[in-house]
Amino acid sequence: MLVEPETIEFAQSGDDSAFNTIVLAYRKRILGTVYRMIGRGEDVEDVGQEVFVRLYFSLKQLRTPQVFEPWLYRLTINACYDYLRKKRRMIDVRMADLSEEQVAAADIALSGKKALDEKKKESVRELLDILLDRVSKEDRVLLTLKEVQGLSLKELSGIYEVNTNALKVRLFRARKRVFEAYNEMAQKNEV
Amino acid sequence: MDKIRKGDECIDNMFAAYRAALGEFRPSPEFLPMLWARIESRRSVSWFTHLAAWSPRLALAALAFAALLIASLWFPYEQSHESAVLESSYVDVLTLDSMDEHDRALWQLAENNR
Repeated sequence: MLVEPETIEFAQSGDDSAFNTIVLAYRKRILGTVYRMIGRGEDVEDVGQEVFVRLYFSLKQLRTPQVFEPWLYRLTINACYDYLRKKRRMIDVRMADLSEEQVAAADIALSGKKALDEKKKESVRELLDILLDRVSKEDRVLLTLKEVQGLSLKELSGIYEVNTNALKVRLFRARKRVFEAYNEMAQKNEV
Repeated sequence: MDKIRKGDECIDNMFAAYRAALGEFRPSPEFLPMLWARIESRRSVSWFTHLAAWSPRLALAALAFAALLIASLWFPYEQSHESAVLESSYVDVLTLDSMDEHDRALWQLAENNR
């Protein structure tokens, strides 16, 4: 944990400076998670603030500081769900609609090359954003937490409150759906 | 089997590239002041929300109290033994006071039939 359990208890009893300490400790992690989940830099702070506002008003409901982190992740996931529900772009992008750079980015991404220049990075971001928009928000969030944020199955199990086997099945299906979305786009573009 | 492995590899590569492309998000210096402003505004909203939630109940209680008040003013006191005594003259009260229980009941009956 990034803060002492006592700090959480102080914040629960209404100590604003203790709450501020929590925000400072978790700000970077939460904003990073939100950024990876929603994929739009311009709205990250807005969603991140919403997470901490919800935390502020619901902190008293937390039974024990030991479960604080999974609980904060759940708040973050729910805020991201709400955002994605509201702002979900009704896109039906086909590979043919993608720019040449994005098509090239798909090749780069699939080849596993790591060193990319800024322009190619931008194209990879856009491509994955489009692919993740084509699966459900639940799949998007789960895949982001596992594949992008790098959370372990144990950590995810604490957040989702399900056993690791059930998570493995969900992950397998989510990955399959992303791959199918990619194949569908690729076929339409005859890549 | 090979197809599944290849698909898995593709997805892994895609996410690795995405991870590298995303980089770190740097919060602006305005993050904390804006967060506290938001908490403050939500705090006042939540106070009003509580008031709004209670207002129908408060209105109902006020109505019930008003109805009770009107009812108590509208209906006169019940005609009881005590009220009969209160409405009697000074002489009647003195008479009643000097009587025993039996005579008092008879007198009261006569008074009521009058």
